[in-house]
Parts: sequence; structure tokens; C-alpha cells
Amino acid sequence: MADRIGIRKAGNAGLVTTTGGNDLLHTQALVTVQAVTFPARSFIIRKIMWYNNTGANVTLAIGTLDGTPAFVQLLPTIYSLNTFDNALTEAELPGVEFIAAAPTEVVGLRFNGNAYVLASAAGVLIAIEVEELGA
Amino acid sequence: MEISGIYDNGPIAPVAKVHENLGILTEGAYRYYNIYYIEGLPRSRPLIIDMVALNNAANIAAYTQLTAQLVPAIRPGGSDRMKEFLHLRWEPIDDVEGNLYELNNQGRYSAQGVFASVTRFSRDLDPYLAATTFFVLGINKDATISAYNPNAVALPRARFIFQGYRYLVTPLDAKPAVATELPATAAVY
Repeated sequence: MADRIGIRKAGNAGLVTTTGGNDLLHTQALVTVQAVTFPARSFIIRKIMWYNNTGANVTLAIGTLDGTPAFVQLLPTIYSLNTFDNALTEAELPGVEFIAAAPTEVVGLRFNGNAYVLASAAGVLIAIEVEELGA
Repeated sequence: MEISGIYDNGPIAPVAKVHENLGILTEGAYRYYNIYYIEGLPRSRPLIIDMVALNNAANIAAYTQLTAQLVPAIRPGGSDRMKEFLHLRWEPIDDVEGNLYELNNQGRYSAQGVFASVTRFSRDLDPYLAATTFFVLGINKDATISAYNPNAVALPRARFIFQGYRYLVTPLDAKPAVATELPATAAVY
């Protein structure tokens, strides 16, 4: 298959400090053409970098929200050691494509297509790089 | 008579220049037009269409074909005196296959025993998508698109993107001495 050429950019939420809830990392670009709405650009996370100086180890789950809205984890849990920084790059990350579902999809699969981090504790710094695909 | 190089394996280019003549196979014979105007339709957001959304569907299920739908973005306009004529290439940007129909559900990219589709693999050996070239002549000779999901799982979207040229053509009453003949249009009826 020919390469899909995308645009590399930082997650548009920038540098995020976890709160222990769903923290937005990147918002999907939607478009309405001919009265129908769909993603102009889906995206794949190509890098994740984090730093934990919270005083305890923290787990980081990365995923999206369904129609409830409830968090849906899409990548394996990252274990973030106290006082350590770390990063995952394209070679380590599976090419999970974040893509918004149709409004007629069942609630549990009606993903909004945005990327969120759900941390087990507040105070971890995290930033991502994404490759946006589409036009 | 000149034959255009519409399927040459290279970047898309206009099939003729402004003020040249085109012979377009439509309604059973070559009809002749003079090109009044040409402009590009760059590969861009307004030329993406999602067939899941156009079908008002929840998703595209595994091994399932969505009903072919008219795509207004590539629906040319015009009048009897000045027609829009679209010259397009396309591909899916999700992992689905596209089938093209023109006129009365006449499948394009077909031979006696096959109805081919445009897929994410169509760029292999054909990086400029030359073989996906098709034309739509205004008016009322519209194209419809259907999508097929070749995967074992449902997909949330079935998006396709188009690019090409828009011509404005004026009909000629008689066959001109020199014209570029286009055998590629679907309008063979």
C-alpha cells in the first residue's frame, strides 16, 4: 500500500498536566460538506512524552470518548515512574487511528475521535505528536 | 483528430487547451464542444466526501457495500449553451473500496467479466491514479459512488477524495476539423 502522507504536529492541547480525569490531548478536525459532517482529518499518535514528579508512580491511559461520554482506552496503559521522564516514539506505538464516528452510531461506539489521557493521579506532564491524515 | 493521453501514467493535466475542441462520447456518439474555460480543483477538504455520512449510516459493516449515492460535490452544472465538464481522479482515504457508476447505474472501470474498484492499493504502480480518471458532463449525467468494506470489522467512515479540473464547454453544431476525442466518458448511451 502506498504511504499515507500526513502532517506532523503537536497535539493541539499542547503541554497537558494530568488532573486524574479525562484530559484532552488533541482535537479532531471535523468538516461539514453537503450538509453531512465527518472528520476532515483523522490522526495517529506518533510520539508521547511525559514527566512524573508527583511523588508516586502514575498510570496513563490514552484513548477517546464514546457517546456517553465515557473514556475508551485505545492504547495499552503506560506506567509512569516517579521522578522519571520517558517517551514512546513511532517505532514503539501501534498505528491506532483516531476517527470520529457517525452520529447515528450506537452510543458505545460513537467515538468523538479526540485523544485524551486518563491518569491515575494529577500532576503528570504529557505532550503528544500526531500525524493528521486527510485534507 | 487527436487522441488525448488521459490514462498516461503521470500527473493529471488538462486534456486540451482553452479554445481547442473536444469530442466527448455521449448519447451514443462523439459530440463536439469548444473549451471556453479551465480551472483546477485541487485535492482539498471540500472535495472529501464520507459515504457513511451520505448514506446516513452508523458505520460501514464488515464485507458490506453501501448503497451508491449521488455526490453533489462532483455534480456538474450548466445549461444547453454552456456546460460544466469535470475531469477527476480519486482515491479512498479510509481502508474501503470505491465503485463508480454513471448514468443509469452503469458501472465504470468494467469489462465483460469484471467490475473493478478504486482502493488504497490503487496507487501501487499507478502513483498518480491515472487509471482512476473519469469525467462527468453536465447536466443530468451525474456520477454515483458506492463504498465496500473489505475488512472483517466495521469501519466508522468511508471517505474519498477527488481532484482534477473543471472545464466550461460550449456545444458545436458540427464536427470541427480538429478536436481531441475523449473515449473515456461514461456517457455512452
